[in-house]
Amino acid sequence: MQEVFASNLVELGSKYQNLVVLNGNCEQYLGEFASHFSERNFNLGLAESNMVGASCGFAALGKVPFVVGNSAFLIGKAWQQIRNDLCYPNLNVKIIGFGAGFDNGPEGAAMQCFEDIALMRSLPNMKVVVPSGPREVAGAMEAMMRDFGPTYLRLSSVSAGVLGHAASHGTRAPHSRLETADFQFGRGVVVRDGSDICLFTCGKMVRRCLQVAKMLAREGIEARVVNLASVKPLDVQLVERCGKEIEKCVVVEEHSVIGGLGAAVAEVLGKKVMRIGVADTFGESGRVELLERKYGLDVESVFEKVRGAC
Amino acid sequence: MTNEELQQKAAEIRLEGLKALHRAGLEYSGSCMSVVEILVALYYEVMKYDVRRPGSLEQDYLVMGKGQAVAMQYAILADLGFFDKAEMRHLAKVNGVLQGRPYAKVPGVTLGNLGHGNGLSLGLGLALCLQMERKHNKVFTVLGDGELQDGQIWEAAQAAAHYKLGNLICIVDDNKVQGGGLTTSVLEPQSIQGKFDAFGWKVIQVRNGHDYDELIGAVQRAYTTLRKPVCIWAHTVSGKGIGFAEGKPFYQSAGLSDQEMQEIQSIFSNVQ
Repeated sequence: MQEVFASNLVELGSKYQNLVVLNGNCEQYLGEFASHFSERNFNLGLAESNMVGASCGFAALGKVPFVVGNSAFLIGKAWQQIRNDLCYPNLNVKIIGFGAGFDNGPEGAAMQCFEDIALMRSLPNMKVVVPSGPREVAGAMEAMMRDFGPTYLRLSSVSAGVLGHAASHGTRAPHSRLETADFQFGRGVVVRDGSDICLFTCGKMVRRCLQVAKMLAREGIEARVVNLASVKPLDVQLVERCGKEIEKCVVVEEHSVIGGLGAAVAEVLGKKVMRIGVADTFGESGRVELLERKYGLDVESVFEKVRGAC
Repeated sequence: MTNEELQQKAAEIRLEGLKALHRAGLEYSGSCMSVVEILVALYYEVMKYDVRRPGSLEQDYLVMGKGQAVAMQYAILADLGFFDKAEMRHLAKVNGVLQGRPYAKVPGVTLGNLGHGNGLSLGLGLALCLQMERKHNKVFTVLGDGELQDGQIWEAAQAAAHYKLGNLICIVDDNKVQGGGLTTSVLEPQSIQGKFDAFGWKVIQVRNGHDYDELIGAVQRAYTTLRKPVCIWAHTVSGKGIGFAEGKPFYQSAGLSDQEMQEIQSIFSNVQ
């Protein structure tokens, strides 16, 4: 996901002269943007609160700042600045959070982040986007440039996913046809149709849900998988329609079961929705795959839980 | 303007600002009084702007760090014609545009500031953007002494020096008091001079932050400083201009009773 973000950033940088980047000492995420457009890239060090404040200065003068950092620190430390300085006056700043979910596996709980969607989703004016793969990242970034207003783009690595290795090494991912290159705010996409159970999901869990759906199909259960990359604004109509058509609804996300996509979907449906995510707990250090297994986000765990619900 | 005219202007602003503050039920009357001369000097003598074209390319920018004193900034903006003076009657009222803290949607306010310690970062962003575009506009940020306790100020101070922002001027309204008592007793700020020095800023001290010659002189000296942000450290008096409140910690964060407001009307009877 980093490579995709970086290459798209260079592309957007050439296309939009008013795009600037403020990064919290994480130029490794920026790729060639840092050298190609060094005059438009500012490293503001390990000081996220100040970085978000400064981005508002750029936005006030007509620039479109991409504020890049690690989700756990960017969202956690600068929440008050994002709320008061950015969302309240509705400035055109894009918050890019890397390393959400279990991405920073070995670093442990402090660097992992399962609360960011809840924290961002609750802010007025803020939009929340959780893309599922490279093409959707590209689509989302373009859409963010055309859109006005604060947006949180949550980028977690796809390489940790079962099918993700190909994508991170530059070759075409097996399921990339299922992503939407033309990302639109407020639009969800049914990436696999079925009528027995509905899986609402976003981010890297989309691929996993497709795998789960395949496994369920072998047992004669047809699952519908809905990619809700635009967590806010949510595709309310689509969610309502799915909720009417299919009795059993499940939300699968790499986020706390409190306040994330699960909450967003439940707020719309107003009926019992099974939420698969990180339970109300902190993570710990470990290899990403093993952590995901322990905390129930790997394909097998999700499959077991969903089958149990059927 | 001559100093007498500026003094007259300051008296008008004090009265208008306090009337609005009292009507709105806002607090921090003492904090409002200490910053009046600083704001009057900036708006009526120092800064470039065009009331008819807010956001014009040549204008200087001001970020009001000490948001609790916003009534004074609004009183000035109304006096200058950024919006109708009648708007002051609706300060901090439901459906009014003038919020109780600086708000970006108010004409004349580029960036609102809604939390202590946030202001310098906003000024930093403006200054960094102007420097990137090789423009010569200045950015002023007015801070209170209490909010220097906030760590974000020093994050911004460090970045401003790193990026050699000669276009950023921060004025500290050091009235020695904050809500809760004397700043030294709440949380000793230590040396303001020493801290900004250490962060790579030039510090210009203003012994009397209510004296226009000193204030404007300090800004002129700041203009001659290149490739370095400047902190104008202005000593002021909380509650300045209102006899019963001057230097009294209580009034720093207190509102005004009807009786106190009457007394203030009589103090400024020559203005009316």
